[in-house]
Amino acid sequence: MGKAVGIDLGTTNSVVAVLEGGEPSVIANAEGNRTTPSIVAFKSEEVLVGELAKRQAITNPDNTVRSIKRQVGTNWKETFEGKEYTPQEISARILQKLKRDAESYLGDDVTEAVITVPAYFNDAERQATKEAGQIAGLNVLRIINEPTAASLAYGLENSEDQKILVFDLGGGTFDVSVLEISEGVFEVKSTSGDSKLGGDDWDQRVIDWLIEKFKSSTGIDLSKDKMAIQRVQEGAEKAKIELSSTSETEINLPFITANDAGPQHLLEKLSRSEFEKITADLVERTKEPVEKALSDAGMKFSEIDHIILVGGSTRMPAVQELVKTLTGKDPHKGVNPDEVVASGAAIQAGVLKGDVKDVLLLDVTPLTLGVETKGGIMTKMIERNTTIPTKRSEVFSTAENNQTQVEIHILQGERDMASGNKSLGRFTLTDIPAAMAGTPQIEVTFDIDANGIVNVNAKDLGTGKEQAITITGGTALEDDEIDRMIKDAEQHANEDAKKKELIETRNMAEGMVTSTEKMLEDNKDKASEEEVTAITEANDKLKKLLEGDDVAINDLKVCIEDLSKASQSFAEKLYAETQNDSPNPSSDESDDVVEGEVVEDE
Amino acid sequence: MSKEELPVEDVDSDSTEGVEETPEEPSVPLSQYEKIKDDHLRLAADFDNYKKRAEKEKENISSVTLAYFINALFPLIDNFEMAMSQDEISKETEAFNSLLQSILENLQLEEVGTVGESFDPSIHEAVEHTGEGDLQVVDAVLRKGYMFQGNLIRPSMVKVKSE
Repeated sequence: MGKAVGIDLGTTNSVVAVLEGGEPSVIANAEGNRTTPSIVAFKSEEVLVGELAKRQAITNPDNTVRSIKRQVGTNWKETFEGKEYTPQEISARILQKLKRDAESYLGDDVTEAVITVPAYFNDAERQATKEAGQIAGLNVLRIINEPTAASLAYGLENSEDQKILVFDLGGGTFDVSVLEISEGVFEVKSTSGDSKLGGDDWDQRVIDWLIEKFKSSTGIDLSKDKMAIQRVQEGAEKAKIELSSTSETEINLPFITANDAGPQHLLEKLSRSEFEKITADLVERTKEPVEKALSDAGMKFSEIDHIILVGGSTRMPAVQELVKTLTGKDPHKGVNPDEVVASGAAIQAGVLKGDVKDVLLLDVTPLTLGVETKGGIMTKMIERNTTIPTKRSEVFSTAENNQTQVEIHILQGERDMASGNKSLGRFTLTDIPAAMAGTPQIEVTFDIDANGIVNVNAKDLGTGKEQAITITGGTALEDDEIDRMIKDAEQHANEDAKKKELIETRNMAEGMVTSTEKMLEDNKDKASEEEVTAITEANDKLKKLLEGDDVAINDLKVCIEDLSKASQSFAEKLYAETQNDSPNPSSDESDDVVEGEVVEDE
Repeated sequence: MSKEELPVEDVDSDSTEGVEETPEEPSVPLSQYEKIKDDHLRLAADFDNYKKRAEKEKENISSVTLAYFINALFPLIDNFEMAMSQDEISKETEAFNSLLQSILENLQLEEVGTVGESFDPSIHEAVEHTGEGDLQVVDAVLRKGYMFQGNLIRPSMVKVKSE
């Protein structure tokens, strides 16, 4: 069964999104971009769509179609390379590319879609859009309004009855819609807008400003130079975008042109206030359609519950300011305004497919769970914010020689030291066969079920003996207690980390002492007198250091280093010898046993 | 493990596995069972696919990051191009340009767009067009394009001539 996607089929750009795990996710096209230009071109029997069509537009203007959305639902027909096309067929090409690229990304067929249309589209226009989908090989689950999709993306359909104002300022058009949600059903109360107002107009103001500045300082009119204009245009758009987040930007275009005096450079600083001054009238133009939409809906600003911003141009602070001043409310802007419509369409697609209805609301563990290990350290088993249900196992061992039981102390919290965390319970696994420290294999498993109940099980992998404990109430904590514990851990992070490092170094040192003694014991006939003396001396020094309670970590590290050096060459010698000895006795297969020369022991 | 031997509260003297009273298991309608099973399988499959995709994306991360960085350098790269095409070039400019070019070479950045080749929108962006005819060739390269690890980072800005 294929996937269902949501498609924002725009006038200038189109976006496709899919619902994954209950969340909408925009899919990048084959060129790696999250938006695809809504441009189709016919060239040498090929059909180009998107970026590629855009790049060749100027060489093939008669066979390149832009903004086909403006023709959808009309009797528009044109012939390209001997074949006649309707707007549906052109739109279908765009949808086909989106479908293909989505399939390529998902690795799955895309067979169904929800496609969005402007709220003011009439029946014929909606029908034509649906047909376009069908021609593209998509089962169109529904045609929904763009402002409705945007509302869905903000999760507004679940709340009580709401009145929503959607402010959509895109690249080339401005649309205002007033919606009313009643019992989960969306109703478009009114629409208004300006089909000739968009982000491009703001760019043009900056371009004009730059040309004017350059003319006054150099006398050169850049508007005549195609390449220069291209660069100025790019610089202007970039400056506009930067001014949404900084108060001043620089447009730097070296070698923009040349005259008798030599190469000329364009370097201008544009402040946000200057930018807002030269574009003030554009912002002002958005006011009237908003007021009209409200009066047509028979509402006052005070009655509007939510304001949603759609379209990249709504990122401009001046636009957001106007909306706020006009309506007295802060607009919603959490979702990427370029992608909000496609996201909402994806959500609708999910709902229609039954995906969203059954989405499991999964919980997470609020705090880390773990066990106490040697030295009083908290060893983490399940990190906080892990989605549950979940299960995690780790194999531990004994800390002392001949230790026949282990205590499993279960802790909850973020501190590195066990004592800093909350104790949830403890139990003991007994009858562990006596062995050297580090030999037994104790597998500890944490299993949290969907209700947050923690089951901890400890099993001796050697004997098969196990012991377990179930913890219920202990894991439920108040939100503020959770926050406090997390803050606590952050504050003590450094201090805890140092303590932990010290303990771990101690543990390592203790292990080293034990294994060095064992190595000497087992191989005393192979060691020379000097080697034994050197190693024993370093080992004793470390041992003595460990006897003290308050040992500086650097002293420990130095002693460890010394012992390491002393025993290294001996250890290497031993290892080299075992390589030359008979093959690994634990290997059962008697394959290529090389009958080598027996190397005499030294 | 902790070396202290603390008295054990016999919470469960038996392990939780094993001794259980088995009450009569509640039954579930077959259709519901089938649905739950199907949902589970789909979720498992979705997760699997997501894992595969995440792996692929991880592999690509370093080249994506590098491509992003190279993109950010374009104003610098382009302006050096322009500086080098001037009549008078200072020694410093030449030296810096040389350094920049060798860095780009080491990054394995490939240039695309040469005068005379057929116009190809997959690597060229036409900003001017002259002439008539069926054949379309690159007449001039106004700004270089670049490929990185087989992907187009930026198309070459060209003038196209039809003949």
